[in-house]
Amino acid sequence: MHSLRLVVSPHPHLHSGQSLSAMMQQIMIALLPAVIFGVYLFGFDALRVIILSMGSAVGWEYLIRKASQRPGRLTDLTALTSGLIFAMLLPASIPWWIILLGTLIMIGLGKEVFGGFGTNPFNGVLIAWVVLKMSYPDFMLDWPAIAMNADLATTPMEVFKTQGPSFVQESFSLSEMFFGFTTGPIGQGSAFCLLLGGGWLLYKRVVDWRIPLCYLAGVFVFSGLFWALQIGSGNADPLFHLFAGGTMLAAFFLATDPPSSPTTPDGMILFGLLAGVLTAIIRMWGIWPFGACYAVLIMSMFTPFLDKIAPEVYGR
Amino acid sequence: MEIRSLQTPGSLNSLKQESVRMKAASFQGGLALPVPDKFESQAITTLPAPDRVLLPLLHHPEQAYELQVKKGALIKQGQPVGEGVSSLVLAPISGKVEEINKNFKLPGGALTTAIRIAASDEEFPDEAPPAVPDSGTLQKILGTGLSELSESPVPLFEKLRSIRSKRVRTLIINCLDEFFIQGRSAALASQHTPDLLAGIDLLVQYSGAESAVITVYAESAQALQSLQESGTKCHILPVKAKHPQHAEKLLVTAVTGREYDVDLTPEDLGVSVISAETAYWVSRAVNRREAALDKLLTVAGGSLKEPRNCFVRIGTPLQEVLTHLGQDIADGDKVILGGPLSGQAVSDPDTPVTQQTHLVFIQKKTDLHVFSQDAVCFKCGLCVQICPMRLMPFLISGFSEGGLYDLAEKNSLFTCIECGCCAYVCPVNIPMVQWIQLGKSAIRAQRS
Ligand code: SF4
Ligand code: SF4
Repeated sequence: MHSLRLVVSPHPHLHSGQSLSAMMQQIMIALLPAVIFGVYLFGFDALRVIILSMGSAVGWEYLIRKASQRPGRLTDLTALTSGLIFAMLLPASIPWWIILLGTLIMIGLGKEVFGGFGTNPFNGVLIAWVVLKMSYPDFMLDWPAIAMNADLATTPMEVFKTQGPSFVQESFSLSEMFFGFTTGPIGQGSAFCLLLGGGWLLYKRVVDWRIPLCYLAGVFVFSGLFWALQIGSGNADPLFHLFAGGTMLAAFFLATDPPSSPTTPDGMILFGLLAGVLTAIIRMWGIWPFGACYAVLIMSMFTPFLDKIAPEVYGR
Repeated sequence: MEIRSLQTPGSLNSLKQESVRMKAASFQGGLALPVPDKFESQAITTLPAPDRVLLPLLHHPEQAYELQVKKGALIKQGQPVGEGVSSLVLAPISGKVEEINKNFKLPGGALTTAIRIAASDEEFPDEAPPAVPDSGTLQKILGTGLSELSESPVPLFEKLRSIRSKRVRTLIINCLDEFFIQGRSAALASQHTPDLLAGIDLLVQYSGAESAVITVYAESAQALQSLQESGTKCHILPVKAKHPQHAEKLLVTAVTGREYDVDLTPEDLGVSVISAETAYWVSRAVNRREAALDKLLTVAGGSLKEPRNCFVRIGTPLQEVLTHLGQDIADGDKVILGGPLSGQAVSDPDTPVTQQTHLVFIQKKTDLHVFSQDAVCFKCGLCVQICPMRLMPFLISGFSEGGLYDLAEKNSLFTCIECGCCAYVCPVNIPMVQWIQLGKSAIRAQRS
């Protein structure tokens, strides 16, 4: 009888306008200072790694989705973004085939075997990083010398681990480490650039403040406690722990990976704090200098458990 | 974990002492509402009565009505056409019963009987003023007003009886509407203050309650001012304009400071929620012997710059209301009963205005939001942070989607008030309320 055809759908009929691809865009924008600084430090080589990593991540995702006959998801930009974050962790000198292998592991093992972005229990970037670190330690530790610090081709965290904190003080000033005039992976040296990006993400509310700030607090307080009370030898300035070893990258770009981090406010706080403490523990007593990535990866195993710390339901 | 006592209404006593709480009450989570730049709401207009009305007889899920008229009968405006145990359905206009449809589908999907009345003036040269039927006892008078806030609306008379029997001490008179700060109830409070307050006094008297609290959006300056200047004894509680503050649970919490589980009602906490419009009609009925033949509506969205508040004859087709307000609708538009966040879209533009129609929101074809049917939750946690019931929306929605109803229920599915906040913020556009509704109805179907 009525000719008008109205649209019917479940509520709500409005939306915030936030989208996954917009969030990923913001993350890439936030990494821009670190990318520019990395290219400035390591030259064209760094650019090569970044482009290869982003390009191959997209390529692998396309192929895997195609082969498994599922609709493509490239427009959500998660592959592109994780390609960029992955490149941040690599040395500029790394051979092309290792990059391709890494991104295959990142997309395949880290994401697609679990069904795609969202259902993966671990951060694919870290899975790929660990596999490469174990399989090709030499390539992964082959830091190119940089013009400002030509005679020392090791990262501050490696100096700390192999030669002790007093050598760190001799070789690097805090401001050198803060601004990132040290060698190392392409995008993790400059705490300053990463802080800029991290601040941007917090300002844009792409990332909740709880995980990054609690993570930084965890690192700072735990390492600071041992340093201030001088428990044992081999303690470094907590600021060193904040600026070196990729702490900032882990805080804002790795620990905040939504699928592998908790969803509840209290869970996020605990996750951040514990990952921070674990980072310091691995650095201080572990045999590896790269505590930040390991700590975040290990903590993401606790995510299902931390998600149980749900808010107290209304009226219960 | 705090164990909340449900017995002592102590906080209400302390509440009575200050006349206006300085800081507006609020809750955790939810969405801040857009605050209009200017606060004068337009005068409430009265739309002309339509030529035809459609009157679904089942306003209360529990109460069936006995039909009082036959097809072809001539009836007078205000004459009962249906009678329930404690309430009446009155003819909104004079005219002839044109059709009795036994299978009328309500917007929610339930079937009922609907009466179509076509106006015909000739038979009633001495058109009587709308009057409460003489035979109507107080019970029946009150039965014509509804208290729409409870989850299953009950006739006002029944509600007052249960308030009495549960010894409720405080009535919460709700002047909040979904989404719009300048909605119908705020307009009522600022433009019909004496009637509203008189109605509240009567309700307090009939229900045996001790006092009344009027909740108003703190941002609704006009309504607040009118109420404060009236010198009423009622406590006025400004609350922050946030969605879904108008929901009964959050309203009760704003007033009492206490929360209650799904199997309890506000009456168990010593309070009861009644809408401002109900109070208004009670005063009209008792003091002026006028029946509630009109419904106070807010119409918003579409090409309307500001929400419009108007009295509309019950039974008027929505399409006619919109035409009067100069609001065209076309193919592909959405007509929503309720606000844009928790309202229900209707398929038929001729859906009649009933006593449960409070707000009509129009969305143009170009403004529609489209959900994604194959999106995967990526656990960003935004929905957890926004949920006013402090649930894990992605869990209950995901469990319901996957048919894991037990798990959904274990995660407090039934505490969800379907406010829509979670789906509003979800970056991948999961239709969470749809899944939650599916879960609830599947569980209810299993049980029945
Ligand atoms: S889960 Fe229910 S109560 Fe919570 S935000 Fe979603 S719709 Fe609202
Ligand atoms: S907002 Fe959407 S994507 Fe984020 S946790 Fe909730 S359901 Fe998942």
